[in-house]
This record gives sequence, structure tokens and C-alpha cells, in this order.
Amino acid sequence: MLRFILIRLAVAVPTLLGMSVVAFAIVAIAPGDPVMMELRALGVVPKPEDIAALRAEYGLDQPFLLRYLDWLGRAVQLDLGTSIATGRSVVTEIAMRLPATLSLAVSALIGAVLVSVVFGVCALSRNRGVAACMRGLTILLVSIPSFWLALLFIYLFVLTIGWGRLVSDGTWSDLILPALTLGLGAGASLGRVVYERIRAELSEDHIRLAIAKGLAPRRILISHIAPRIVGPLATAWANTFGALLGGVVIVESIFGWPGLGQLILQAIAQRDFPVIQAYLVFMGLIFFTMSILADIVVFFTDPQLRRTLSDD
Amino acid sequence: MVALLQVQNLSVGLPFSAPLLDAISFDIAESERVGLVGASGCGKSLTAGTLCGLLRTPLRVLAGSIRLDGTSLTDASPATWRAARGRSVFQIFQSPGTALTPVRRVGTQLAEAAQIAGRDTKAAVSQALDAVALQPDVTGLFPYQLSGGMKQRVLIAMALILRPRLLIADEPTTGLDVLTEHDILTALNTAADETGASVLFISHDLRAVRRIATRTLVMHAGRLVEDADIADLAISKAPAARALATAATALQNPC
Repeated sequence: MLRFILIRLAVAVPTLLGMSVVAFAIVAIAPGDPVMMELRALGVVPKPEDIAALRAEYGLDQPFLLRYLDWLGRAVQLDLGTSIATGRSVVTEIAMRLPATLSLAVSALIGAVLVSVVFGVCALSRNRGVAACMRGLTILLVSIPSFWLALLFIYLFVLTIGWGRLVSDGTWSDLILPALTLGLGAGASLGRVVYERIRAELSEDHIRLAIAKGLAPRRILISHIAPRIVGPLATAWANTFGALLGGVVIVESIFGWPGLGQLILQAIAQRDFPVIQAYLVFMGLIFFTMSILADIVVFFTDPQLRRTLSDD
Repeated sequence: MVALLQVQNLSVGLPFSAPLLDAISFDIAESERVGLVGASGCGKSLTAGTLCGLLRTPLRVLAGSIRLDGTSLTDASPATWRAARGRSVFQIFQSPGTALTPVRRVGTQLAEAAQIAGRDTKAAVSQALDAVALQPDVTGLFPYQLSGGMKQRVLIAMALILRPRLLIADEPTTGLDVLTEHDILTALNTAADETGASVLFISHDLRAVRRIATRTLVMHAGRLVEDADIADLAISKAPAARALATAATALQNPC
């Protein structure tokens, strides 16, 4: 097991390096310049020598490769630079907001997993009405954009019923609406995966044998189908978590959730390169961690793979 | 003899199209062993699936009746089918390679059968494995660690634990070498002797059928065309039965 994780981590080094190049390059080749943005924001009419001085201060006058190597050298020591907009350390800025974003994304993922299991299993119901309703609801929820669902929830629960509030201070009760907004669509989409996986398993001989033995459907689902589909589902959950982290930006802004969303939107508007780069690297790292966790689930649920890897 | 299984005019297929099983009727008495033979695609496995309530959608019973141990199964509720499966009827499948759940240990899957049969798990599993000549340590293995013949013997052990009134064996020796085939047929006879179960042995190989049963049903294109002693198939009025007997005789000729 330990060997499997170590190999997986070793393979990850080039992936992470590639990811850092892409993160750095995307920002470096994007149009716009933080120096010009800052000077404009201050209402200063920049003279060419002011611009040159500020660019030299932030190291923006150096060639791309040198800037990248310098940035990488500091990044491995967890020094991701200073925000051009606020002047604070980027790591501090991210560390302040990351827990709120992670708690929202994790809550949304847990909600999505629960919704997907309920939708997926109900869509297989013998009752044709229930099955058709679930399939219809799935298509509806997958099709609704999250920002629209967010506005609907705000209208219903905040403005009409008064169960929530618009400006959040990060308390747990304020997490419910944004987590639902994110989780419902993702859950419905994952529900299709659960439904298809279970349907594929139901036509397998080993499930027919379990039925022939006289096992109850619930027992077959839990003991014979679930252990087979949990590995592929874990991979789908890891991918969904990545998508949720992306979707968090919009939903956080709509609900005023004090996470990374507002920070990154502001950073993009101000071309705050160090913040954007650090955000991309952090998101990549989180996505990568989730995919390792999914691999570990696959490892534990597939006896043949377990044996093969321990023999190698 | 009292009929354990009564099948009357059973037709199976898709609504509004030609049936795949066409009005088949036969009885199986208590503890009787019957062979069901026919060419590939004639409806043998479909018959087995229907008798276990394992028809794949959208196939369904179009007409006729199935009575097993006094209970009508034709329009039975899912709960009635569940009560009948395992205890009244059990099926050993054609492909042992895929019949066991790959992610669960053999012992767990056998223990599950013991719980359904309401028997002491440890004793029932150990006796059954002994009867099919498998070592007790196979319980700790996963299906992928067993050969095809061993997996088939695990399925027969499962039947021994469940003790169904009717055991359906759907081509249990297909794809196995002759030595393993011999072991499987011996194990199957042992299971039938020990449990007193009636057996419906499905095969396209008359040599194998002869080891288990004398009475043989012959199917052709979804119809039951003969119900006779295996020795009389060569003089049957049904061309399909004669063809099978002729082919079996030709294959037995020495090289």
C-alpha cells in the first residue's frame, strides 16, 4: 500500500511541474498588466519611467523562463510571493480563505454523493412513475445553471421565507444554500453515473446468481453491487470535486461566502499575477490529492489489482 | 410420482412477436433427474431463466403456467419469487468464470447461502466443500484465484448448502477439460444424492447428460419436440432428437 502511494507520488512530480508551468504561463501570456491596473486604480497618469520602476520592483521586466524558475524556487519553499493588490503574502491571503472554500466544496460533494445515490437507486425503481420522475428531475437539475439555481434559492429562502441571509460571515448555517446550489446539479449528474453503473452490474452473471440464491434486493445492492461500483464512483467523485471547486467561485460571490471565490475574481480583475498563479497551483494540488484518494479507494476495492501491485 | 415442477403451455418472448419459447409443457417428479438437450439457441437457457424468474427485460412470460412445489410462479409477486429462489429452485450458471462476485471472498459468498438456508454457516460450508472435493482454504480466496472447474464446484457447493427442491444446472461443464468435467458431474450427482433435489440438467452434450439423467427432453427452435429415455433418442420421430443422437454416436467413434 505504502509502495503504491509512493509510486503514485513519484509519478506526480512531473505532472505537478507541468501544472506549474501551465499555471504560470496562462497568467503570463494573458492580456493586461498589474502595474498599469494599479496605477490606473490610483488615478495616476503613469510616466514611462514609473511603469519601468514598478515592473522592475515586481520582476516583470525579466524574461519568462527566469521569472518562472525564480517563482518555482520560492514556491517549493511555500513562498508564493506578495499580492500586488493588497501587499500581503499570497499564502496568507489563500490560507485565510481556503478553509471556507474547502468546507463549501466538501459539503457540496457530500450532498452531491447523497443526492446521486438516492437519484440513481430510485431511477431503477420497479415503480415506473417513480423511475420516470427521478430521470426527469435528473435532466432538469443537470440542465439548470448553478447561478440561476442560486438566484432561485435566494428568492425563495432568503427574500420570501426568510430562512437565510445574503451576506454571510462564514457560520455553518450560511453554508446550506450555497452547498445545495452546488451539490444538487452535481448530484443529479453523478446520479446518472450511479444509475448506469448499477444497471450494467444488474445484467452481470454474478448478480443473477445472487438473485437466484434468494437474496433481497437491498442486500444485493449493498453486498454485491456497491463494492463493485465504489471504485469507479470514487473516481467520478474526485472529478466532481474538481468541478465543484471551479463552480465555487461564482456561487461564493452570489451568496457572499467568504472563500477564495471573491479573492480570485478580484485578482483576475486586477491582474494580480501572484494570487492567480498561487490559486491555480492550489486548485491543482487539491485536485491531485483527490485523485490519489480515488486511486486508493480503487486499490482497496479491487482484490485483483491489490494482489498485482503487491506482487510487483 | 408427485410432480414437483409442472410447466404447462409456457410461452416466453416479446409481446406482439413470435415467441422464443413456444407452448412448452413438461413435469419433473420429486428427486427425478431430467436432461434438457438441444442445439445452441434453441431455448434451453431461456427455459432455465424462466423457471428461476431471471428473464432479462424486455422478455416476459406470454402464456402458460409454472407450478413449483404447489406454488404458482407465473404471476408471482417479487416476494414470492424471492421466497422460492434458493430454497425451492436454484440455478448453476453456464459460465462459472463470471458467476461469482469478483470482489467478495468465496467463503463469504457461501456463508450468505447458509444464512438464506438457515443453516449453521461454518458446518454447512465445510461439509459442502468436502462433498465437492475442495480444500477448506478456498474460503479465503477471491474468485479470480480459482480455476474454472473449481469455481463450478463452488457453485455446486452453494447448491449443497441451499438444498433446493429443484436444481437447474445450465451447461455446467461447457469449456472444461474432460477430467474436470468428470469431477463436476460426480459432484453434481453427489449434490443431488445428498439433498434429494430434482435436477434439470441442461446440455448440448448427450455424453454428459447420460452421466446425470435417463429421461431427456429435446428442444428445437423454442419447442419441446421429444420427451424420452436417452437410449431411445436415435429412434425418435423428432428429427432434432435423431440428429443429436447421431452426432453423439459419431463423436464417440474411436480416432
